[in-house]
Amino acid sequence: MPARNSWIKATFLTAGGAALAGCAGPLSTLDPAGPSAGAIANLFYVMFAGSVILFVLTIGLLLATLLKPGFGKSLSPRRWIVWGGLAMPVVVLTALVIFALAMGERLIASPLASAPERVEARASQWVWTFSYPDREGAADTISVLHIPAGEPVDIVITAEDVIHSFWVPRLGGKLDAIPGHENVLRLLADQPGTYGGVCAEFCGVGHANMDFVVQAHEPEDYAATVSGAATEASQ
Amino acid sequence: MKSPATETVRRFPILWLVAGFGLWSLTFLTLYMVLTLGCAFSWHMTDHAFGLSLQRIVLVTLALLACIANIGMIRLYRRSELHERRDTIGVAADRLNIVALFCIIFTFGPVVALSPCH
Repeated sequence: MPARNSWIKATFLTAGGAALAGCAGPLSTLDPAGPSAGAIANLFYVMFAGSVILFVLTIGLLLATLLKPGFGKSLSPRRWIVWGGLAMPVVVLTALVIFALAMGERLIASPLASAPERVEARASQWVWTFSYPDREGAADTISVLHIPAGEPVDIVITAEDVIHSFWVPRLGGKLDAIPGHENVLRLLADQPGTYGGVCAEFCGVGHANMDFVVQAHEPEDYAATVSGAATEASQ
Repeated sequence: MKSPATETVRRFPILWLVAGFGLWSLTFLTLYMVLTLGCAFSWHMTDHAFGLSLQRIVLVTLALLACIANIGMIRLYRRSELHERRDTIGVAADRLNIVALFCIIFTFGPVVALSPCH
């Protein structure tokens, strides 16, 4: 029996460790580094809490009927169906939908008083190319996106061949890169640092390796860095 | 003389079971299509009556039409001989069409206020 217990313990520890390992790292949505990703993480936690509440209520009622014969007899079957099967999920799901819609509105790149920095992201099989139209003379960068930290940046996303998807999990949601069409994603990194990005739409055999990094710089260093990238590119 | 449509529904009463949610599906596809077209043609940038964009007017009108069509469907069904029989399919069809109306309001109601384009 002790050997069996230690196997159970080891299994739980391994599974728990593997699950918790996904909470951190350069591509973790549960370790947000900006307001958009923060809103998405909050949405996840609220959705998760909602599902836990519904699960506990449902299993609790099931266990009550199993362990205590006669439980719930005071209510007619019709009332059980209406309140437990209709009213309860409708209330919980309505609250979750309202919260999700409110969070979704916050993610939209609506016009600001002062226009944010614009960066163009072009996807092609299987590489990301970034341009800086607001910075005169700045050269394109391949697989490295430079942005200023602490300021909103509008990423204008498009593709040259097939549909791809731009995703920096720690900074925001994903948005499709579609040939002949421009989508705008607003990102903001709270702190300078390096954040991982990937293509989130299967786009061919090289899809799995179509990643990039976002380097968020202090605003005063950003212009120099982008110009430096131009110098490096020209050499 | 009954119309072919009425005759079809009389012969296949199960059609009433799916009528409400069939309308919901059709509305979903139509709104999705019109939303995409409107965003592509910048209908959301136009300013029509009461500060409403063409995109908003079209989407809200379509959602309202779906509500009206569903209510009409419920009333039409309640006048039919199928509804008078009060059998299982008849009662289920009546309830499902009412549930479909709530789903139409719940799912498409947000077109009144949400941002139409990204």
